[in-house]
Amino acid sequence: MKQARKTSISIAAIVFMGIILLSLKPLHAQYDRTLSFMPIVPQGRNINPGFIPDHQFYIGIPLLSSVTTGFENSINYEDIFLRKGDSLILDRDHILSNIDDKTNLNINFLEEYIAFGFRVKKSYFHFRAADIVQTNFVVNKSLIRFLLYGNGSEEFLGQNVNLGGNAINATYYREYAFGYSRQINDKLSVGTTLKYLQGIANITTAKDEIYLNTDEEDFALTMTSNIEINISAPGIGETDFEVNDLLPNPKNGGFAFDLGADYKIDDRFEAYASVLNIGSINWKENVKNFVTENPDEPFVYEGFDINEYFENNEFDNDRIENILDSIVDEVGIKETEEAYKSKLAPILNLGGRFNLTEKDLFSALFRNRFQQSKDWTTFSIAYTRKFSPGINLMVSNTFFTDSYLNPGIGFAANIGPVQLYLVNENVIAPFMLNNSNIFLVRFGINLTFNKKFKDLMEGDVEVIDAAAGKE
Amino acid sequence: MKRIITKQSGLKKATSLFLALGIIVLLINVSCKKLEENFDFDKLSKPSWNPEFAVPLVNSTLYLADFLEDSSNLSIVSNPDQLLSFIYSDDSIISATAGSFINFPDQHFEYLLDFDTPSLPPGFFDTIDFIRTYSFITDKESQRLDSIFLSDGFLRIFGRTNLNRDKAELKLTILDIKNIATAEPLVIYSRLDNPGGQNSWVYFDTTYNLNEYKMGLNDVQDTLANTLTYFIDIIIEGDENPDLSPYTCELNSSITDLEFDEAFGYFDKYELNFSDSLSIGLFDDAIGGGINIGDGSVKLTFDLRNSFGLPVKFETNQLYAYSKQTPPYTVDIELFGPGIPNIFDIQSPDISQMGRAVETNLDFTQANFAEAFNIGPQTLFYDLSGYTNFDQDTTSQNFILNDSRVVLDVDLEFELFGSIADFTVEDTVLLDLNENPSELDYLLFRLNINNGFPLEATAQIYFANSSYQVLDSLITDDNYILAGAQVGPAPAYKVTEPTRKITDIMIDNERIKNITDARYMFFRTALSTTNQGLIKIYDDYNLEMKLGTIVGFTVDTEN
Repeated sequence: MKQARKTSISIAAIVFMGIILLSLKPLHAQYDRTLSFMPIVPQGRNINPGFIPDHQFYIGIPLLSSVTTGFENSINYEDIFLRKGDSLILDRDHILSNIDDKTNLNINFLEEYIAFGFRVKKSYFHFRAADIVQTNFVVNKSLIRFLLYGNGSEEFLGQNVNLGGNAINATYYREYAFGYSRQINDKLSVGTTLKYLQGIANITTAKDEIYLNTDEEDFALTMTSNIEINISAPGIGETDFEVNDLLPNPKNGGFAFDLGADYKIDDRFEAYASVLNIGSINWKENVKNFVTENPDEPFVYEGFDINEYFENNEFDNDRIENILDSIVDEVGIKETEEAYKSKLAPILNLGGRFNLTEKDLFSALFRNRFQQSKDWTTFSIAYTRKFSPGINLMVSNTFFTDSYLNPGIGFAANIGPVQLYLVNENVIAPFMLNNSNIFLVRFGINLTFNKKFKDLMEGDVEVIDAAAGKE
Repeated sequence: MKRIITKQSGLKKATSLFLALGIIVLLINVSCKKLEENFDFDKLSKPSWNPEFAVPLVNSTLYLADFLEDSSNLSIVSNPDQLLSFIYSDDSIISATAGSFINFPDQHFEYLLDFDTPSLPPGFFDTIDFIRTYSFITDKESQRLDSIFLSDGFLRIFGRTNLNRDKAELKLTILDIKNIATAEPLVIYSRLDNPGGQNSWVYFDTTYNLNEYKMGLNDVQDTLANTLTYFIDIIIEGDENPDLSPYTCELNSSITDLEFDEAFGYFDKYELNFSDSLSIGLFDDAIGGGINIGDGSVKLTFDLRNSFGLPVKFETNQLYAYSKQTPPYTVDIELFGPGIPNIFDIQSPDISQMGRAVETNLDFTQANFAEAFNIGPQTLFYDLSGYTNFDQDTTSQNFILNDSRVVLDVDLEFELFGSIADFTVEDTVLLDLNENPSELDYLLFRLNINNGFPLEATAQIYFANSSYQVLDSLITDDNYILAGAQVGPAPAYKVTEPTRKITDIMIDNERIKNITDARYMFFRTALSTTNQGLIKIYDDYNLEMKLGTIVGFTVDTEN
């Protein structure tokens, strides 16, 4: 009976994984994915607010409790460069055959200044302050193709080319998060995190629709655009940039929240779900907007009057040099300074854990990040070995359409109250940087105190020199 | 229950920690080396492809005026039938004014008056009178000065007498000089007092401004022309001084610095010179070829405005068209046709038109301009003389004002009707592209022309360095040939259908370098009318020109 159940679970797992892999979409920037596979790290709550860490109190070492950096791209070095012998080669066909319809480039950074959490009976409270930088560039393949071929190539002459669908979404903000989780019963715990956000800088493409036609006979350019790019950045206005401008600006305020739940199916199976970053930032200071004046009106540029190229019987070289500027000037992009709102990219996490034994934990996480330009879906699996109550060693792999092999490792150890942890996604990236799409490192130091902490402080713990075999 | 932590488990954790740190160090170390190795872009070889970007450069609808350099003396006018005309105009040539060349010479005369005085008891008066006439000297012998309205001038009376009377006076009355406002004759008094007769001579000197006077030199009472009559009275009062008669009086007079507002009479023959040249910019850049003009399509117009109240006749000293490039280089213009001298009269104002200029407009359509334009002249030179009273009829009645003058405007009007064959023009443009040709693999220029002019053209552009040494040409295979628009029948000769041509001109990197090194562009175009036949240029003719380029960029991997 047990054997039959294991077999059906295995088949179900394979089918599930297959569906997930087939539905995977290009990757977007994210972090904290494999951190959820190490139960002793309290920062796992950032992935699932319903998760209640197995300790009474923790506090992160200021500035060192969680440092994250990494990139997640849908292209890698070898997608761009060909190596033949000792030479590097740029090959147009090679590039175009390796990039997706939408190329994603992401660079992220997180610095936790302060973090702590504590349990009060069935409730768990959590707070953290962190600076977060999230950058996401989405480049449409048609734009890359356009740049590589040029509008004067046979590929594009006489064609209506869609050059839109690109996005730059980069945000630098400070987050003050207050979390609350509650153990509802033996099986279910739920939680939420409320976040107050202070924006520092942002660039967001709210609209990016550009259609270009180059007349094959006279090269006249007909362009229809509907562009809205919003920028808030220190020094963008009339005042010069100062270092103080990088301090969080309360006028660029916003709110967000996370929701999560964790359910124990039985002694071995757990499932959890969470949604993160439901919220936005209102940008009111240091703002500039670049908006198409007449979105439905095609702009046609057929060239300048020939007399504009000559002045005093001399060819006016500046006219040639400034011709592109002149075209851009005439496209009709107006510049305003109106407040705008940028949404955080919400994240959906669906995860499960299977405790094979007390020390062997298998986990899986399906994640989708909902972004304006394109969703970003990944699927991660992990095996975690609990060597002792205070040590987790984890191996994982993250799948997405552009790369199925992104093995990660993780490690967490409690040495007394000091907890060190390190997670890495795509551990082979340093060895195979050429074809790595993602690389992420997160490490931190916490002070954790479990439920016996009180006993420890009262001297109710003996230290045994095991090597000597005596107390 | 005590929880037991063994030193052994602590050692394990420490070992694990060092293991983890070791992994981090290893990852960082390996990553850095890999980064250094993989991202050495010095090893990047030049790509085998170049992006090609197309940009429209020129979009112009060019009318006739757009092909011509700015010229201050050219007007392009549309005639009622929409036929275009070029009108080349010279600045007005203004003759000398009458006041500047018709002069009234300074006059000098002297009289010796001898007289006896009667014996007069004190308190009694007597007058001794004389009449003297003076023939006014004129600028020209046959001039007749009926009247002169003076704006300036001086009459001076000076001399001496040995009269020994306590009180005496000289009174000079000139009936020919009258105040303009009051018509009163000019009377000048000079004191000749010699108290006690102590002085041997009594001197007198009086100057009078004539600026409000009119001189009548040919009045009814004058028997001779140009004559002034002086009435001289010496008035004496009786006294106790001895009578030493006979006495004498030396009377001198001068009339100087005469300026006039108006003058009447006969002023004889003077020459007015009108010499200048008229630039015909149409042919400025011509280096060869010629033009056959249609019948009556060129006319020279002299517009003369004369405010001299006397007859003026014109005669040309020189009148010819000059071409710097086409023999025989000069063609004399015969205004009235072959063998007829270039002499003509102009209108003059009559007395009722005094103060106004009378206009004479002369169109010389019958001149030999067809011959002159065949050489593509750049300049029309003219040297004319205008003669007053050319026939010297002394009985004629003239008038002049100080500012009387003749103003000459010369217009050369060319209705654009004719034919040309291989009429070649060349122009030079300064060039300084400052481009880095290594960034450009090639340039493809696409010239798209819709020609609405009945002119066909062959064109070439040369690029030359600062020493005018030609480095390259734009078109390598052959001259660019643009067909002219088709033309309908006479007399309208209107374009029936424009012609269209698309031409691609490819310039590779090596030639781009030549062009960017160039400092001059020479445009050379040979124009012919469609089928070298007669055409007319109307105001709605245009040439639609579109020039676009495809730029093949070199992907420079070393920058």
